Amino acid sequence: MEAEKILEVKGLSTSFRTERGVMKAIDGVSFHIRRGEILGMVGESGCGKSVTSQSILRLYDEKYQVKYGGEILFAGKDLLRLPEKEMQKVRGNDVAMVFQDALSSLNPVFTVGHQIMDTLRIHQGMKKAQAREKAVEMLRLVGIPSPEKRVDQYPHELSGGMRQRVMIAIALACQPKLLIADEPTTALDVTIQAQIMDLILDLNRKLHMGVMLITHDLSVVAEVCSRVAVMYLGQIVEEAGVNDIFDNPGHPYTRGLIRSIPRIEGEREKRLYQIAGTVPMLSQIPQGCRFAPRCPRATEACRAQMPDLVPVSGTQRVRCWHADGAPA
Amino acid sequence: MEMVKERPLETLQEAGRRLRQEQRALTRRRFFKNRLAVLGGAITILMLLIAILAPVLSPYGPYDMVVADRLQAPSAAHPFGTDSYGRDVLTRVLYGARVSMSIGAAVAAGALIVGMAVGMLASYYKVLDNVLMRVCDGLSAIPSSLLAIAFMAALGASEQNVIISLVTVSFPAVARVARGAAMVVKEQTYVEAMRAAGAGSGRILLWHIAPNILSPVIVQVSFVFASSIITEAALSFLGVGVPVPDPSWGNILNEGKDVIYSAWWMILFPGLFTALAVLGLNIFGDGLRDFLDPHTN
Repeated sequence: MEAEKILEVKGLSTSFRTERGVMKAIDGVSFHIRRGEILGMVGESGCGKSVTSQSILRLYDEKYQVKYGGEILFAGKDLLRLPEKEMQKVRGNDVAMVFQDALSSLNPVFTVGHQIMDTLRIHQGMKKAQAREKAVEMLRLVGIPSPEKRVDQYPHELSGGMRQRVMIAIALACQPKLLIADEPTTALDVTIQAQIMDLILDLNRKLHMGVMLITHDLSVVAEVCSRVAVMYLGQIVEEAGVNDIFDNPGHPYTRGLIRSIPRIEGEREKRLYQIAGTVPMLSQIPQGCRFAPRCPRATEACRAQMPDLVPVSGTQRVRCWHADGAPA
Repeated sequence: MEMVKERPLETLQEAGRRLRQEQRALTRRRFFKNRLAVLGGAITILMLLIAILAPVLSPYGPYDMVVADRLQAPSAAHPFGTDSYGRDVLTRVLYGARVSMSIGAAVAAGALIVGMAVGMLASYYKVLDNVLMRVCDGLSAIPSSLLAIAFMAALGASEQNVIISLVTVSFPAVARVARGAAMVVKEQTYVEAMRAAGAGSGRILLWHIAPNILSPVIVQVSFVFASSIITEAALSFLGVGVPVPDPSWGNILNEGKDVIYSAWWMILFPGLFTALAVLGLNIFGDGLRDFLDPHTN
């Protein structure tokens, strides 16, 4: 039996008001995350992965900057309809987030212990001594050696990997049901990346929370995710189980992403494959299929009308007119 | 390598303590290397000590009049001479330090609090930004001593009103510095991370933004301290500041200007003290800025 859906995003759109007019950064994004599941979200830079994650927590300034549409159902409530006060109780408590840039995500003027305790005191109303004990426990949980001493250190005294561990400790302090990890390993070197990913995987199993893992590293996805959503220019273009994505990618964009991974075994192409062109600006969204200008298989139909995200087999959904045809 | 091996193995805790001590020593050395800042700090501390210890240091009472001894030149009994009522000028200058320094400190504290509050609110709320900063623009458009005189005329001369009007004219500069720094800090990832962790706006402003903008603001406040001593002296000199007979450097100067041709000591000494105090604070502030801001050097 499948676990309950803890997060269900339906037709989410996020538009930014800018000097050059309203830009729709994400447009009609729908997906869900089940308890204990890791959903990978991949795509090039500028595809709207981070905007999606920050929209879930409503981190943008709604008064001046942004307008949301659609629904974000979390534990039966629509987060987009919650008043700001209620939303504050969700942030960090039910849904927590780990940012990309571990080096600047900690306040330089407070000890790491203080910052973990801060979250605990906001949400759980803990007393200082109790929160401190919990902070030490959290540091131990994320694998920081001698946490009793580390708890009184300042961020600059810790290495990058340690700081990302601290960020994870802060995120997990209140035992959230959903963890959003926005490229949690991008700022770290390769060995530390592996450690942090192992940590997230381990904690996901131990604490049975849902994880939304944003990354552009497909090898990470292959290793830890159970399902994958591929984003392109503010839309989900393919969503499938992790095996389907790698064995039988439906969308030309997904195929392109997978072909651009350097192979270690077997025959190698002379040059690493690359997807032609770059992600267009939000002010220049093409008509029809958004990927058509860069797509090797694009036809007139593709340029004329935008395809829907349709199921092709089982749980795999693809947004492409040629999804059912043979691979090009 | 030899050196490292000779040292017995230390525990993590010991290493941490040693590093922290070394860091502190380095910071201290870096500060004391800046000779001017140290000199400025020394003058400021000296002035504060004079202000605090005035009753102990001064040979007479500040209001003690000996009419027979009026307008005496400096002598062993009266090192700074006496004024037209026969009061000891040294005593009055020392007590004047009390008034001037305490007004300066109170204005600095007031400008710090008001300026920080206004600057941070302006940086955080866009509507308030326009309102508050336009008010600040308006206040700083008028020369500060002129504005202070206007306030004093409206409020009436008293020490408390001097503080109120000086805070009003000097907080915009602090607010502008605070706003600028807060704009930078609020875009930092750790502020966003705190929002993602569920912190409210008040908590973010007070606990996460305020401590991070303190150093440029403190530097600005040290200049406010200095300039408010000058402005206070100017107000008192013009007779709208600290009311007589309470001594302040400004009103001693005022009384001295009537007898400027016969009693040079009545303007030399309070003038010297004012200049010294302001000079000390200014070079201390300059040094503090060099010390706190990694971009200068």
